[in-house]
Amino acid sequence: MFKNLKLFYPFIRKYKHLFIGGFLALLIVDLFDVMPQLIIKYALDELQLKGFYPYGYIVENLLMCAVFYIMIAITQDFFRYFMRRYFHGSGFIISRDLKVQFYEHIQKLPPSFYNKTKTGDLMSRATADIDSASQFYSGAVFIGLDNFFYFLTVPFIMFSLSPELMLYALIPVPILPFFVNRISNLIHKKFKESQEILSKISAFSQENFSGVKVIKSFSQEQNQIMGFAEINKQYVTKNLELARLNAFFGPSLQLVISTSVLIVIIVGGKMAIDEKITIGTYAAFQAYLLKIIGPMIGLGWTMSIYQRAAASMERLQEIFNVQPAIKDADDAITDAVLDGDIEFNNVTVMHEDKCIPSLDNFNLRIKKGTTVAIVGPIGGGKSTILNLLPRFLEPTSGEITINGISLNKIALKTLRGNIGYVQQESFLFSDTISGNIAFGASNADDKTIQKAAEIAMVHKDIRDFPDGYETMLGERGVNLSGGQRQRITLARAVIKDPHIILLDDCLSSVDSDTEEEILKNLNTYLAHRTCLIVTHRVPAVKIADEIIFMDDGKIIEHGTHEELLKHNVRYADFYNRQQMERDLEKL
Amino acid sequence: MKKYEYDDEILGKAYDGRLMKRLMSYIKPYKYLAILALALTIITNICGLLEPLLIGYAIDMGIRQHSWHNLKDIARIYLGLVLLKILFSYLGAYLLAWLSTRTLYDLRMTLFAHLQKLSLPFYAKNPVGRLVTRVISDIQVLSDFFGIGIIAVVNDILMIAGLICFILWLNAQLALIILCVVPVITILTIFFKNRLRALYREIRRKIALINANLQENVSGIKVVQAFNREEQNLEHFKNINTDFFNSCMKSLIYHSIFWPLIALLSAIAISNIIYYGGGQVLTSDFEIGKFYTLLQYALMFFGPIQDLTDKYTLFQSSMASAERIFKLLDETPESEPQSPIRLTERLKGDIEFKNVWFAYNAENYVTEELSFNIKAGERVAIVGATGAGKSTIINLMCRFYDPTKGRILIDGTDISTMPRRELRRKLGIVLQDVFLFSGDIMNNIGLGEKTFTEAELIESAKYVNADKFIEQLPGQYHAEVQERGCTLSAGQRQLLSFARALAFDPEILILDEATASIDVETEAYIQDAIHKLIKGRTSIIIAHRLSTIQDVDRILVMHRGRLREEGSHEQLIAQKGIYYKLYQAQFASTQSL
Repeated sequence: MFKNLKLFYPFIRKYKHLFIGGFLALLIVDLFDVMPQLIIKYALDELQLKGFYPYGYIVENLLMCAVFYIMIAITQDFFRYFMRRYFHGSGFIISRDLKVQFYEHIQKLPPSFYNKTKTGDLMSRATADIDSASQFYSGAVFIGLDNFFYFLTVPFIMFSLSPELMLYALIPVPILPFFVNRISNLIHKKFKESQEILSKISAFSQENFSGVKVIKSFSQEQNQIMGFAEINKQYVTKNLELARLNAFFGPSLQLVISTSVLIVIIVGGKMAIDEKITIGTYAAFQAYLLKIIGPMIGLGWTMSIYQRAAASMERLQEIFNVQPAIKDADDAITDAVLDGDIEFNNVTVMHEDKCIPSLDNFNLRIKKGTTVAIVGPIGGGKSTILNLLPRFLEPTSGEITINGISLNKIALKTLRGNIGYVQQESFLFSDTISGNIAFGASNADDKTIQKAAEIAMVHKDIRDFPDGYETMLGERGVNLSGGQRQRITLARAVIKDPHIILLDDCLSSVDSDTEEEILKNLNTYLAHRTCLIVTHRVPAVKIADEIIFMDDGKIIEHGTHEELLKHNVRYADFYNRQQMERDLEKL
Repeated sequence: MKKYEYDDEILGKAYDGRLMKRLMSYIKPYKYLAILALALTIITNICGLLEPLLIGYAIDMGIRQHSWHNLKDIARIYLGLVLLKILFSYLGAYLLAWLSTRTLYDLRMTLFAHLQKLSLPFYAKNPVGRLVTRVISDIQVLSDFFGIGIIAVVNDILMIAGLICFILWLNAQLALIILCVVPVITILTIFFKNRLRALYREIRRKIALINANLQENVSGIKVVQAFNREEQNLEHFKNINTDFFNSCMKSLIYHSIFWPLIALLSAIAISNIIYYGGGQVLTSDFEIGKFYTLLQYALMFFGPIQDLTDKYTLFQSSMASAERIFKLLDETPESEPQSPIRLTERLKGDIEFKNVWFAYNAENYVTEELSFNIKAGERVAIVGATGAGKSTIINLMCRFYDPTKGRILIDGTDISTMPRRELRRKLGIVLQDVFLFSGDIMNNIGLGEKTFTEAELIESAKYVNADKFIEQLPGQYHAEVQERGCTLSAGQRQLLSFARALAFDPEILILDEATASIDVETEAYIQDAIHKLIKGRTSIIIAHRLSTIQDVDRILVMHRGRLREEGSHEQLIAQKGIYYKLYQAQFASTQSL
């Protein structure tokens, strides 16, 4: 059960001053916490002296009790402040650190990791699991120590008041921690089961809302409602099971506590009648019973918190243990000039779960300053070529070089810094437009940003937004059209001023007039750069020096536009069809 | 960076009479049980209040009078009281959970059933994620409201009242000491809660920001890496994370001051009772046991006050969720005609579009002056470039949307006078993007419609050649289909959707052919299936394939929202107009695929 305990050590070492400070404050608070009952006991016993001692004497003692009571409260509350600050604070601090650690780590992982891991899964680790793991410190350690101190003090005081009564009173108590631990684990298990049904409900509604058109087409609303009712009924059943456990928990604790209280009423009462103990002791026992029962229950909780925290910490370690598959070699070159000659030598890329290679023994030489267009059907291997260059993907075999240097010898930062890559999906961040354009060039000034936007033909659109370049994008800001998004993504790559530029079908949503303007701009921009364009459209092909037609991971045709037209097979077919469509658009 | 407030962050009032009334209407069917639950809770608490009193009696009447007999009686009463309390608290807690579970079930079903009635334009405006949040999270928030919220508030108030009564009854003078502290505590609580409320809102906003940032970085990781932004983004993340952390610490410090302060106030009250109460024991007939009981009550006093302030936040978030849920419930469902013309008999299948204009958003017409006739049993293909308005025809025929101007008639009756669900039942619609439901193949063909036998469904599958691939699947007709149909190829999904349409035996078939590239073998099956599906049935096909065009009786050519050419394939080719160009661009070389 405690095998994962060592996972928690590093943070305790790192923040030892917090834990030591918290420990001391807690120690004082807990020591003082058993005093008020003693004072009340003392006051009750003083009152018993009514008639035996002078009034003034007793009242004076009562006053002493009252003053002590307040002084103890003041001291205790002073340290209570530090206790809360240090212990609860440690939870916040460690959860903050874990989040940064998590973030930093997953940033290093390659796209292949993200393809395998669902965003939702990562998110739940980053939120729920970090919360639960940090509860080890603010919860398990804190409550655990707290309980521990009470076990040291309360029985000691009880013993000093009356060893006999203590023995009787504590008979039912030791079962508590086991009971609490067991029930709270059972509750947790049922809770998880109920959460699973809830996610089924969620999935069902998600599917229903996404497929609303089909449902309406086939008039299936009633069946859907019945299906939905069915899982909801399961949810009701499971929740009622959970409710039974929850409802059982409190009263059964109460039963144990009340048994003890009852023992004290009877046994203690008998002893008090026989004057073996005072009324003060009798009352104090009632109070101390509650003081020891709290920690007993707390012990059960501590165990459950620990068990959950350990499971969460383990889930976090699973991610921390994933080694970045693509990383710098030890002697990675950081100062290489990567201005353009690219060479693919016998490059083959196999996909894990597919038996057909997405790139099959691929060879290509691209001279510095050349623009190469890649065309061909979907799944032919076009995007794979682009993904290889910034090392988002590693070849299964073969070698790729830039300026004669093998890619895996170049530091990732240097490599990617020299490449401007525009992906097929135009992903933008919830930031201002200027922040998005200057994403890879944070110190770019407004003029440079505008220049990039002009090349990508998006400046006019931006100018028309209410806040211009400072307009927020994303969920909380304006929604852009597909074409606008693509143009901003293009501007984002352009502003980087890279030697090599990769465009992955990135103008597909831009209307044809704008596209031609952009290509005109790009033609100048690309003059001294090496560029690979994956495209389905004719105008983009026209700015290329060379064209390759890819299918099944192989180059089918390779040459200039004129050569391939003359060749009159796949490329020519593609070109003619495109031409027709464009004519049609103009009708 | 600019800050934008947003729907899910807005905090409502803690109490809104209008919303409250509406929420209460969901408890109404169970009102007697709710009253019972409340009664059980109150009795449980009275039992709790009696405990210190009994111990006080044990001191006064048992110990001090040296009466073993009295002590035994008190122990008996205590035992009875405890058993009663345990039983009632168990029943009360379970009943409350039952009520909350049940009301949530009702509310969730009402919401879901209502959503089923809403129109496609509604779904176009509301992202799926938002609707799921309403059905799941927002309703979940109400679980605590129904479960512990309302009853707890009533209970806390009664508890405070009960304590005051008991204290006054025990000793009115000493009661004043406690009652003096109460206003101070109340003021303090209100002061801190006000500070904290703003802080909590800030914390919620900041955690949302962190989660959004994290999510965004996960989704956009490739861009981050491509632009070497790891360090800078990490820096930004550290900043917002620290910002969040600072707010948390601030709230912690408030708490760390507030709680000790309350404890101190209560200590002041207690020490005063020790002094003055003790004095009264000495000078009057105020007994020690009562003195003890009073001290215990003084200690118990602060629990319910605290609980009440905690409930404030719960009420606030509940009102906000309720508001969002009711907003959805107030959306008007797809309208149904006043005096609908029921479609009891089979349709013949004459279709007429009469001067139909339609715009998804005002003035931006996607179809203009569209008029055409399709005779019963006729097979018609509609062709046109992307954005020509082809899919709109489907949307209008199924009444997913209603024409802005003009009319659509089937068998001479305006479809806007027909009940939507009956109309749709008569149409067989095959959408371009085949949507598969999780469940098995059988379920995806029959969609869980109880009237179909398995044999019928298998027969439909066979008729459209879907049996060929289904029989290859492990589990065949009972093979599980993955979410969004990832395990089936585009062609196979297409065949499955044909089987689905056929199973419902439509009187008019409307088919939006898929554009996805399909392997040669499946392509042949699909052609054959389409041929069989449309034979002898009024059919409208949005065609992307040459063989389909050749199969139909007539071709309508749409361009920019208007019907521009119509006729047979040969006639249209001879015209050398739009169709001719379109044919060259879209269909000519698909033969080679």
